[in-house]
Amino acid sequence: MGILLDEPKYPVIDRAPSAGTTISNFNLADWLRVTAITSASIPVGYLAGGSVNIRGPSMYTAGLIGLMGGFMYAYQCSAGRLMGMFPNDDEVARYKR
Amino acid sequence: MFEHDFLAPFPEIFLINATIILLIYEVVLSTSKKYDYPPLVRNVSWLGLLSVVRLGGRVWENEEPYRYLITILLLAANAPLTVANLFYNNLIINNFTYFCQIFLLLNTASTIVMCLDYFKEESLNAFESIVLILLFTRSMLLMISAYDLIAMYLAIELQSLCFYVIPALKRDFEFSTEAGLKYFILGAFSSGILLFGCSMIYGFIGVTNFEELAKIFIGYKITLFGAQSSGIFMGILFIAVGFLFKITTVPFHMWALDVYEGSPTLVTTFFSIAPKISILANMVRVFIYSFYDPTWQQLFFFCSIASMILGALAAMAQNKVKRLLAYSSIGHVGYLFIGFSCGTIEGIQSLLIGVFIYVLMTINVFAIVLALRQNCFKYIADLGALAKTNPILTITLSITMFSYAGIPPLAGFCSKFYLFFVALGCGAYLLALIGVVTIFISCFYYIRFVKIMYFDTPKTWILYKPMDREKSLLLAITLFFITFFFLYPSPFFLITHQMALSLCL
Repeated sequence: MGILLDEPKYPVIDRAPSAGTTISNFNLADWLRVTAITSASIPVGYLAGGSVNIRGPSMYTAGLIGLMGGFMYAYQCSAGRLMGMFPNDDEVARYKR
Repeated sequence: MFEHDFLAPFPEIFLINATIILLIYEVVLSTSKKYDYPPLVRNVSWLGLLSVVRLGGRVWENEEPYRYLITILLLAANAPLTVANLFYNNLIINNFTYFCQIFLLLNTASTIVMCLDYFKEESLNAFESIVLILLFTRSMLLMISAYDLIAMYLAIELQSLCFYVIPALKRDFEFSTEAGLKYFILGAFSSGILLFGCSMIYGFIGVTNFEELAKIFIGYKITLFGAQSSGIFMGILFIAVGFLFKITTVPFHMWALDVYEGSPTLVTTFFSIAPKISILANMVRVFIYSFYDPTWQQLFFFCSIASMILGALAAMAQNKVKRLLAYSSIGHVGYLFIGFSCGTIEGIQSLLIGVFIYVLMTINVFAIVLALRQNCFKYIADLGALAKTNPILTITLSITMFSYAGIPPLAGFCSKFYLFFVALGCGAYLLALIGVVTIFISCFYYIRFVKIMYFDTPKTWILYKPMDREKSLLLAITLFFITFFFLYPSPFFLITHQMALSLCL
């Protein structure tokens, strides 16, 4: 089990949020992050596949990598807010902590 | 049971998943009749670069987490956990880990950038090399954060398995096959020795965690002839030998020269850069944190002196570029060991500074070697026409060679100055003296590059082709840092000092 040595700087909503709790806590900014990173990855894949005429598969693969990265980034943000590591005014108001 | 454990290593998890996706993508597409069996190396290189720059590095500023969408600092800069022990104390995250992982990812990205044109020039359709580089990167990330002998060994083996394959990338070139086979046999041997040492430590002490080992060894005098400590001594000695082998330190350096020369140049680049960071980071954690004892200082002093002397003297007789750079690498490991063997906070700081500057210089040199490779550049004498056909590249290489030689005010001088300063501070006067003498000797073959480029008449005139945009950018960035580091080194000194403190406190 992990031992945290960080001091939370904001009110702690959930010290060890589960995956379901974290994902359900995604706000609009988190979903925008997922969308933005996925969108940024797709043209990279499209351009990378241009030299060998595999733009389609390359674009989908890059989009998949970007989607995974964006989701994990949003997950980090959401978990950090619940753990009190990131500013979490909305969560505090919601859970009245 | 695993409350926070999977949140902290998100970059590693992302890299594993991205590698699997890329592997499936490669296998499916490379055998696709619909797309006419396309060559995938360049395409996969860009996708691999996309994966690496997603990881970035963690920020150690806890005041306000920097959540910029600068891709290279994306996932890890946003990590909510900055100091933690994970997976039942098998992995650790702190400032030292962050710095090393950031640096490692930047170097991996640089290497992938350098290889974008390489495979096309060499007509080498080896897309699996990118996957191996990504797997290797993941193993090094794990090695840096390992906090247990078992975790450390697993990460070392994963790294080694990837590294055994890539020297033999050129399957139709006998030197490449020879290099791969040599590295596999000798690397497996050193891994066995290291594992034997770990098993002896566990057999005599009963623990494998670094923190528990550190508590046990406080004030414990380890000697060869002590009743209880001879087995411990031999165990730690075997672990040290295993590490010294992998970092190409004298007297365990023999494999490096043939492997560096026989491997494809891109692989040599990777060998020269990436393992040094992860293995040195691991050695610092093992020997300065866990097994701290003056006994090992004498061993590392000897290795440092021997590496510096051999690196300086043996390189003088070399005519081939890759072999000379291999000896240079051995010599520089000797200089880095000065900081390591001092065992002080300043020593660790100087080691980190030295590694950083050495890696930047090496990226610069190998980017030039790779750019000139298309003109069959193999011997140093082939550089004879460079000053007349490409003066900017000549200046770049000259500055880098001066930096390697430790000529002020370049970055190489700053790193070596601080290393010798630390050696004098801890009383290792002989080490500093030998270091200074070997630097003077090594000036001969570094400045020989400059002499050949500017003053020699080439036997055959070679028209150098323009280099690609990616390498040009990489050269510009590294040259800028090498040239102007002396103007404002303070932030870097502060960061490395903080890294050293996080390890020792």
